[in-house]
Amino acid sequence: MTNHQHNASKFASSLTVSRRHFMMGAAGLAAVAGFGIRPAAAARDVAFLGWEGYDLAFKSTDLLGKAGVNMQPTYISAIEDIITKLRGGGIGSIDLTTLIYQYVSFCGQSDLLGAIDESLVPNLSAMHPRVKALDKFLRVDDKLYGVPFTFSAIPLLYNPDLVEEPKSWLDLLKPEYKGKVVGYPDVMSMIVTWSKVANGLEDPSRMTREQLDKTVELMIKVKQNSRTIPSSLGEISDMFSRKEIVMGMGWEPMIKWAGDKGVNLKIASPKEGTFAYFDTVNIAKDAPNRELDHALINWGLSAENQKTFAEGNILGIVNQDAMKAVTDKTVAGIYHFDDLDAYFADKFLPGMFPLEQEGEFVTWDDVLGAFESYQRA
Amino acid sequence: MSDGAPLSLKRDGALLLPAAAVLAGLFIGPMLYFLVVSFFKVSLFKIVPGFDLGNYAKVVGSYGPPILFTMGIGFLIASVTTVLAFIVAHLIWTRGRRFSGILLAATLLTLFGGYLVKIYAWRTLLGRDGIVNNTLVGLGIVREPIEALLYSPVAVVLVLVSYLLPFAILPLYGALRSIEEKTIEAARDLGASPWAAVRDAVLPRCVPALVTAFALCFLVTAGDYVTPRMVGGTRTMMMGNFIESQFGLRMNVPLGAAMTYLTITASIAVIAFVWLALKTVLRPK
Repeated sequence: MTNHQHNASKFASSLTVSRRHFMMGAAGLAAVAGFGIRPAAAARDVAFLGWEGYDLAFKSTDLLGKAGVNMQPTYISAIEDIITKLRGGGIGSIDLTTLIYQYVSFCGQSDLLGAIDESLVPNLSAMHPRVKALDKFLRVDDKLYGVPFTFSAIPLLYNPDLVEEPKSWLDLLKPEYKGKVVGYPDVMSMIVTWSKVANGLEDPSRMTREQLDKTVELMIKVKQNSRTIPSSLGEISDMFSRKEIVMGMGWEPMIKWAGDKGVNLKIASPKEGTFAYFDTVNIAKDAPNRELDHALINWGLSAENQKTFAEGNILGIVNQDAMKAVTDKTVAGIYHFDDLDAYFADKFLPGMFPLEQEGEFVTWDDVLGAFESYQRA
Repeated sequence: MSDGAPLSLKRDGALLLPAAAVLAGLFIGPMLYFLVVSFFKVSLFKIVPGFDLGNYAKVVGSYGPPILFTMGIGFLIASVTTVLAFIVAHLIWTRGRRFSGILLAATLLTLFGGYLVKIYAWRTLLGRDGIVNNTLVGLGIVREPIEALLYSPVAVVLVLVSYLLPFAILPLYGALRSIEEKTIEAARDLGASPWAAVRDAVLPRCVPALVTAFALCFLVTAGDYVTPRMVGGTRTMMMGNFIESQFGLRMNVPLGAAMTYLTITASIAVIAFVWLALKTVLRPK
């Protein structure tokens, strides 16, 4: 035995598998993997992908219990996370998503969502008339891809103990607030809000290239005056709670989140208006529990559950009977359930940007590209 | 199978097959797929096959500054981490004596906290009302809290150095352990100062481990998109963030693939430069 062989023998494998045995094992594994020998199919849990708290709106323990499954939620930090996850292998394993109304038809066209069978959701009939008007955003070839279940806005929030009430979104650019303000993490909220400020358009989703450039220019100025680009809504709320920021783009439930930590937040009414939106529940394409998903959506739209959802999350709801039943003064005060027109009076509901070139208007891809140039700046 | 014989493709090929299949299926295959796709185009969010260098031109034209920033901050983080890791590994090797195993385990223990937990812990430490700022203000070292501690490149460096340090210590400690004590003793007997002994006798023998530690830290940093988003502030977007955006939100896999390949190419260039520099500077004497 040479010295080399002696050294090598110390590390010789103790495996004594013969080539024949190895090949037999490999062939067996190939048979299992390739010819479909697998355990009997088991019921799959309902996979929910959306904002934290939204899952509870559809988590019926009765329906899930009868089906012998649980709900497995995955929470997002920006609306676009839903598209990212669906595109990144989520099709076939995700059941329910909660897309903003503007993204619904686009995701339906992109084969990310499955059509909703309206006959399986009888509670659709209890929707407030204002909600029914959103239909044009939710249908592709007359098929429904999203059911609105809540509404809210991206208001200008401020801490009244530290600053005076801002009158315009442009107050975020004031030098005295440098490093004490913040924008918003998602594309849509940023673009439509700042387009409204930069261009004063009735529908900011119809913008020319020049108007888009002006919007991004303004967003970059906001960024330069900001503490950071927040990674999530929770982070904005935390920054308000730590008093790192005094005003910024926020979300109505933050009033409660920060309030629970002893920080007073208020909603301003900037003269340019505030972006309001409806969130919808959707069934992902090839969802593993399609029938149960419909039942859960219907359950979530019932008056009782909508009331609980509104009061628990400080959010707007769509069921007319539930609106009348809400007793929580904070929620009723913010959303004016007795007169929705009053809530929407200082707000705007933009459409979706064109996916293909439409005359002089920029496309959604142009907007995404512009948002990246804002991020790079 | 004969005990002690070196690995032979002809004889041990079947045993290598699973590892080769995993490497081919999970790494080489997807990489080749993305290389091909990087020459495709996207129309209405759907991939259109073809051969077009436009994606690469776009990355070079529009993403030059983020690539340079990513390489720069990656180089800084990997350099700082490697130097610190060498110091720690050297201390454990020379001063640890019978406690060296425990000391090494203690450094690895920090890995148990988890990546995100560490990020949130650093956010608590570095915030305006965080422990660091409160201490500095309390001791009168600064009058106002230092805003730049959090949401800045400084925070990205701190978080990633603390996270990557254990990964860099391991290869360096392994390399140091393989150096025989008599090598150092000979250097000292010949009149070398302690620093000269480290420079001329220890470091040259650690070059492969130094490059490994540097490459590990550099590649993790170059591909990271979570840390810059969580603690990075308004001007710390790295290539990982833009690549993630292309694969997800923008649904432009071809452009994302082109970004990935150019980032990989730039990373290989940086690592090759460091390897050559270390080999040149740290020649055994």
